[in-house]
Amino acid sequence: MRCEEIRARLDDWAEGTLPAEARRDVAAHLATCAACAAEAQELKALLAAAAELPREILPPRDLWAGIDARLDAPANSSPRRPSAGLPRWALVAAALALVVVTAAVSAILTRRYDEAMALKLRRAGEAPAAAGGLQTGSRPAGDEEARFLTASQELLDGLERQNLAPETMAIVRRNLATIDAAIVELQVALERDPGNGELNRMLLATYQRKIDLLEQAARSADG
Amino acid sequence: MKRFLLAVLAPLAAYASPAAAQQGVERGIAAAPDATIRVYNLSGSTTISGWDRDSVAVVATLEPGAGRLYIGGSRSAIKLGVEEPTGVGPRTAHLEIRVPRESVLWVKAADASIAVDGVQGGLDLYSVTGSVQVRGAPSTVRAESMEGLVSIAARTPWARVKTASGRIELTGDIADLAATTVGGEVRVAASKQARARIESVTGAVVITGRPTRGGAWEIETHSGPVTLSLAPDTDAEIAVHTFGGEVRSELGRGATRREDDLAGSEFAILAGSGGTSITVRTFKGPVTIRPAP
Repeated sequence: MRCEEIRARLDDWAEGTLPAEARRDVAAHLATCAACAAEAQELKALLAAAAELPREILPPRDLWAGIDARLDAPANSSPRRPSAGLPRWALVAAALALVVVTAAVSAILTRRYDEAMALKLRRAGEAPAAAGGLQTGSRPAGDEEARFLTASQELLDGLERQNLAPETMAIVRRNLATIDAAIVELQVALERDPGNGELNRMLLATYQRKIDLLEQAARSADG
Repeated sequence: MKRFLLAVLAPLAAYASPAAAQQGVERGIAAAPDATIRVYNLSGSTTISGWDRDSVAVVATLEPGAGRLYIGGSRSAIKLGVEEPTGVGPRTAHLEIRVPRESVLWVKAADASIAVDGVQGGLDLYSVTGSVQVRGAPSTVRAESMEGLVSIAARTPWARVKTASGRIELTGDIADLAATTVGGEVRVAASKQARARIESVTGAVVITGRPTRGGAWEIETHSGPVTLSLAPDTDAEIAVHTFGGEVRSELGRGATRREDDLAGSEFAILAGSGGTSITVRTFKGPVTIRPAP
């Protein structure tokens, strides 16, 4: 196959969705073509980095102030007109392309995140609970972790609805980031030693601290 | 000359005018000796002290626009505070409140500080960024602040303290103690604690003094350093379990029980003749055990 054909299939190859025969063809080409091999490596690195991204990145809380100021700006500041060198259809096409690319990237990132999280939960669920290690009875750590994830998301959603002061939400987010960093470190340690009861217990205790923090923030909003 | 005087006096006038415009309000209401009292003051300060009278008295200093002081309820259940004004930014109110000594208190603040002294009933105290301070001998204490200092210098059988990044200082006699923080430092003066549990994610934990014999301490951090600075004649069995933290002990006789790259390290240290159980667990927080200077 030619390089153009291979590169058209690289996305599916990197995602692992190519049929076996096509996958063999791509692999054979990559073994002999340094340029395509380099592109394939770049793509894999990009996907790996994307998988590590947080599921959502919230804009800074003061973003609205800037938007608001621009909306309120006097109308006499002359609006920028499209460049005379570009026809209108080209601008429309560019905008549509941007929408499609953004949607595709979002879909890939979301799917990757879900797959990674599901894998982590499956691994944690497969870990045998060491005797006395887990304080949650016979329930495997994975189930507990999933329960904590659901509970913390519900509490966070509740906080968003409570319309807490931006300063309070900033404190909550700062501390959640600290706890999440600790959770990631514990998860990485558990990937090396999934059956470690003490690590499983520490992980669940750290999730509990996350729940405690969110409940504390919710209490601050109660009248 | 006139211009010079104006230049000097104008800033002074601007500085002095808010204080001069502050409004002083006094209110009182009859109360049962063990009344339940809810206090709500978002910004400024709330200072509460117990007294031997059957009434609640409030002296409030309100910044202009701070809202209205309200107080009401029955003898057994009283609610007081400052009504939050709508459509204006936060305004400060300083409340000095006297309550019957046996009262049960619930106090809520946003950035206001809370200080309670001489109240013997149960205390529930919540602030977001303000400090919370307790003195006296309350029957129970629940104190929380997200970012403010929580300080308890009291004699109480039961205390639960929580912060996110606020510092925690616990002195006095607290028989059953639990303190939790994400990143705040926790300092505890060990004395008559029968049971103490201290948890942090990144915050440092420092225990000083001589834990009472027979007590059980559990300290857990993720990466926060733990320091036990104990009286040289402390009698305690100290067990340390850490996955990646360094352990240093200059107290008692210590031994490494297990060291494993995956399972972590365990240390057992006997100080004096034992009798107090101290268990420290960290993921990667260093642990230092030393005699108090």
